[in-house]
Amino acid sequence: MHEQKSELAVTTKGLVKNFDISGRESVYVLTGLNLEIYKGEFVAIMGPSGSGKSTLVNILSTLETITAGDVCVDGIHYKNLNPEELLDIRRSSTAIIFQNFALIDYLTASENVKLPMIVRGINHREAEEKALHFLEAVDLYSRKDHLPEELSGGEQQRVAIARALAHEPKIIFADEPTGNLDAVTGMRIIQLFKRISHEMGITVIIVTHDHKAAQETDRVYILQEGKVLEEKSQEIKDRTSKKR
Amino acid sequence: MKKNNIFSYIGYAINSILSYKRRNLSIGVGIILGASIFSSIFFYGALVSTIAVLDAVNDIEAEVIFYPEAVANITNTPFDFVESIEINKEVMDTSIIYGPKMSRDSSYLTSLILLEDNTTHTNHLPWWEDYEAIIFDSSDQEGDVIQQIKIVKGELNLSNGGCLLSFELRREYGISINETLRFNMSIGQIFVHPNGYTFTSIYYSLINLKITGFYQSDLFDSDNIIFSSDDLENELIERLTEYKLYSIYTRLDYSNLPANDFQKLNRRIDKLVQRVEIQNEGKIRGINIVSTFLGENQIRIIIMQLIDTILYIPAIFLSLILATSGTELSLQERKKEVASLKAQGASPKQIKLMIYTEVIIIGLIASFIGIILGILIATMVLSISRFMIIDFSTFGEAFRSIRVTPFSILGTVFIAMGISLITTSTKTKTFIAQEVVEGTEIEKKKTSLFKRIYGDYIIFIIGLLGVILNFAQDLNPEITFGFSAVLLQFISLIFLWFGAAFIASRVATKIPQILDRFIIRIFKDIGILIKGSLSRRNQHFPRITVLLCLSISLSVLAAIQGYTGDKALDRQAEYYVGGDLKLEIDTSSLTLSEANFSGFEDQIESVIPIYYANLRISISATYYFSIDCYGTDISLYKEKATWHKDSLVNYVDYREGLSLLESDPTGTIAVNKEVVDFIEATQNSTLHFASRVDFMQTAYADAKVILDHAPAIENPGTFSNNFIALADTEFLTTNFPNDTMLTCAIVNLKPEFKDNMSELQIELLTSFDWIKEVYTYDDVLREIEDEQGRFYGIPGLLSIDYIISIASILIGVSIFMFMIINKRRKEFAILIAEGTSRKQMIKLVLCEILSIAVFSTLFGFVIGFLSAYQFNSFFDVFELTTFNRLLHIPIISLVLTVICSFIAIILGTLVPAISASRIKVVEEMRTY
Repeated sequence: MHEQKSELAVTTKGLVKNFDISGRESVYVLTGLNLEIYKGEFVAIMGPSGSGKSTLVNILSTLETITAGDVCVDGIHYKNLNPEELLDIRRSSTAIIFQNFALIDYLTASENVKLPMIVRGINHREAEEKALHFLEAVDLYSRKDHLPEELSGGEQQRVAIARALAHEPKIIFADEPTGNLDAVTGMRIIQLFKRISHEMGITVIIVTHDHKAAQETDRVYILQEGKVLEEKSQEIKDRTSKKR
Repeated sequence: MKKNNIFSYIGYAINSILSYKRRNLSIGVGIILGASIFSSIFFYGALVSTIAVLDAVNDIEAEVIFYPEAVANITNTPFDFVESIEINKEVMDTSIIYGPKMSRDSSYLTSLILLEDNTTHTNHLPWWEDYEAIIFDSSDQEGDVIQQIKIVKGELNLSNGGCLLSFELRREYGISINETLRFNMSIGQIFVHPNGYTFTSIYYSLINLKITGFYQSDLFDSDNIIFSSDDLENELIERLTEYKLYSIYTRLDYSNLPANDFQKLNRRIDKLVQRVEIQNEGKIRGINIVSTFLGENQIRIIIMQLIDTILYIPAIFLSLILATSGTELSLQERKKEVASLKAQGASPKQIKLMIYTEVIIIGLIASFIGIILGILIATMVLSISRFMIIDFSTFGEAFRSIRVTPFSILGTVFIAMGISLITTSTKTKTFIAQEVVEGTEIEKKKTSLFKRIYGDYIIFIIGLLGVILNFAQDLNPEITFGFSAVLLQFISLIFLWFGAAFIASRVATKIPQILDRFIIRIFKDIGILIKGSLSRRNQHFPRITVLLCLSISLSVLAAIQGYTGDKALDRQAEYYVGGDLKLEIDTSSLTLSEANFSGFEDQIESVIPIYYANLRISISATYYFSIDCYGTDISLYKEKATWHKDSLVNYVDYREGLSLLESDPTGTIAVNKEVVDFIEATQNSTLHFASRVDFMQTAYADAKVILDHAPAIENPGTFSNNFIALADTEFLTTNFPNDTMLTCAIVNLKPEFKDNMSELQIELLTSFDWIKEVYTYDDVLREIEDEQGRFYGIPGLLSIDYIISIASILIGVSIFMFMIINKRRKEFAILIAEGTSRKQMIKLVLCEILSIAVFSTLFGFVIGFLSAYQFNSFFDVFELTTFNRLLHIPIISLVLTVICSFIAIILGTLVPAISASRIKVVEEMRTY
């Protein structure tokens, strides 16, 4: 797959992230992380708790700043970007999906999907049309007028995916997107991500603890103590899964 | 946390206070505001009575009069009694006064008869004619009692035959300073015969007294002639002593008396009288002179204190809202902490104790800060005589006059702590229960019984009824509704306020939704998110609406009434001076023009002489009343004096009314309302005037104009005679030339000389003997500001209310918006994650408050206006002003008030809005 995807979607070089605790001591979460993810790839990031998976995704999705090193997403280097430039990336280059779906509870499914388009200035009619299109893409057109509380967990996560698509992003980040779902529903969501990645050409990077979910991805990065411990391609993953 | 160890709670609380400053600030602000208001009530409330007492007794020369008991066998001298009186610590000074008969049992009395020829008139009945001698003992000439006599004209000098006459006598008879009067001073005995009383003179003396001054007094009557015992023969004084025709006027020392409590003060004075009577074995009796006086003032003070209370109530209510909300915000912010403590096994009781300990510590600190602010507020109230203008020249004096007593400190701490603990207790209980079932808190609360029975509308309608009654009375002053209606008018302001506040809280969920439709259309990029605020309106927005409505209505009331009060002071000064300068003149001449001011003609634009004659008036020519009749050049007076549009009762345009006097100068007259009411004259009634000097001289004139007040003409009620007439000079000089004298003039200056009034005042006084006094508009205004502006604290309280209301908007909106944002942190985090910019976030939070702000401003404005209208009626109902207190609408101030309110709303929202735009998405999503 590396050969087919020549363009890099995400690269990190020597990425360091530390958090100051009470202004006295620093906790290093990422300690010189290097990775390369290609456009249209479906990648899983795994690792034990505290290994820096979520922090990595938060940095890539511009929700966290970097301490040292370099991050390049869709050809843009994050270092030295001001908040407005980061906002632009968040609005149109990337999208993030959370474990808990993070839908606005008083907005209907279609309004939730419209939201990122409205805030970046797309007119309401166009946003409405696109929202319905994205809901259709996740097979939820019939539930467009339902509030989140009227939807199942899987449906809520599909609305969140439709909302991520509404950014018309190059890369979608998902932080444990199946963590709140049962196995079957979770697998459906993973299949949806796979379809988005392979059919729409959008790079999808998910953080997961679920090996079955990871098996569906093109590549897996395993992190430990803030660094990449191991990188597995699809063939390697297949072999390891057969051994299990 | 160790169980049952109070020190562990204190330690935990101190640590928490030091760690979470904003949280403590939100609790503290409400308590500080409450404590400052309450402490200022204590400080100012204690002072207002003292000021009122001192003001009341300031005009009276002595508070207690002791006199010898007629039936007692007295060997003591008056000086022995003085000694026994002065040993009491409540007594400041005494004066022995010979002359007045105080004991009813005494059959001896004095008589003072003015001798107009060389006769002696010794057998005249003393109560039939004329005067009463007030003879100050020669040793008391420098005493506090005599020094307290207010001299209106001339000087206080009783040496070498000097005497003082009342100003009324001067006005009535045209007596001048330095004139010498000859009297027959007699001591006589009364005998009762079947045919009536007879007076037999026992001893008499002829005395010549030279007038040195004219007094105005609440203690001495208008027929009193005050002079020194030096002017009488020793034998006469000995006989006055022998016949017990003396008394001891006693002035009190208020530093040893409870001057801040009318009733206690009265009781203490009565006790002093009793004590002195007992000490002297009943040989002297005492009269508490100020008893009635204090009673009258007490009612007035109670009314003014009620008005003060009305001005304090909304401020107290605002502080309660802030204290409650601050506590709630603080609890909201410690949600995780409480959950964590519960998880570690802390019981609800332990959690409550922990929170209470913290609130007690914050409350104590806040109370003391509040007390300091309270002192400042009370000082400001005492030194503000015009709306929002502090008179720094009196600030220091006002500050020094404030007495910080243990009662005021403990009272403030007790109330402030009570409020904070009660609100904490209620909110903590609810919070701990809610915390367990998180997620149900957005549900609509059950409507209270009060609202279910439409209590808010009922209260509001009662308030509105008071306004309608007031309006009806304004339209037709003849309508009277009885005491219950007066009571309703008085309480209606509070009903109006709180009724409106409750209604505002009821409709807070509905009306702003309508306004939101427009906001959604205007702000398209965030319009979709306004829905979020709608879903949460049931929670906090009713309280924000109440806070904003109350604050804005209070600020509107303060702005209107502040301006109205200032205008009332201006009007009083304008009316009193009548132009740029008012001259009091003492001359026998009847002509006055610019030519009389030689050397100053170039500075003077116009001179309006005002003549005076004390006449008698009758409608039936059978029974006559005394009337003060003023004459002037009506054409000049109409054009050049300062008139008010409500100066005449029966003419909206004063020019129209005055033109009638102008066109028929000898047959038409203006009279004041008292004449109309008392002698039942109506408009156009023909009134019969008679001279006091020329027995047969009479004239008729039609009362076509009814005066409310006229420039530079003494206010009805200032002197004992309430009847006033205004006519053209021709009416007086033609009909009553011997009664007429030139007493006053209004002088207007050319514009370029108006800035030099003070210098001109001195120059005029020194250049012309016949000018006895010059009043400038500025001087008179300052005096009126001191007496009426500062005295009852209304301009000060209105200014404080205005500041508090704007501050409450700022603090309240900030607290409420923080509360709203705290509950929506995760939602805002999602918005940021989805690409909402900081500007959009700030705009969203500002839009949240916008519809509420617009609605509250409109509603608050209407309520504020109605309140101001209603507040104005207090002054008329309780006759607290000299004349009509016209309601003035300060357009610019009101626009500024709205702008200030909006700025406060925006500033109050801005900090929470910025905080919302800086929410850390990662942190919020981690705990989602």
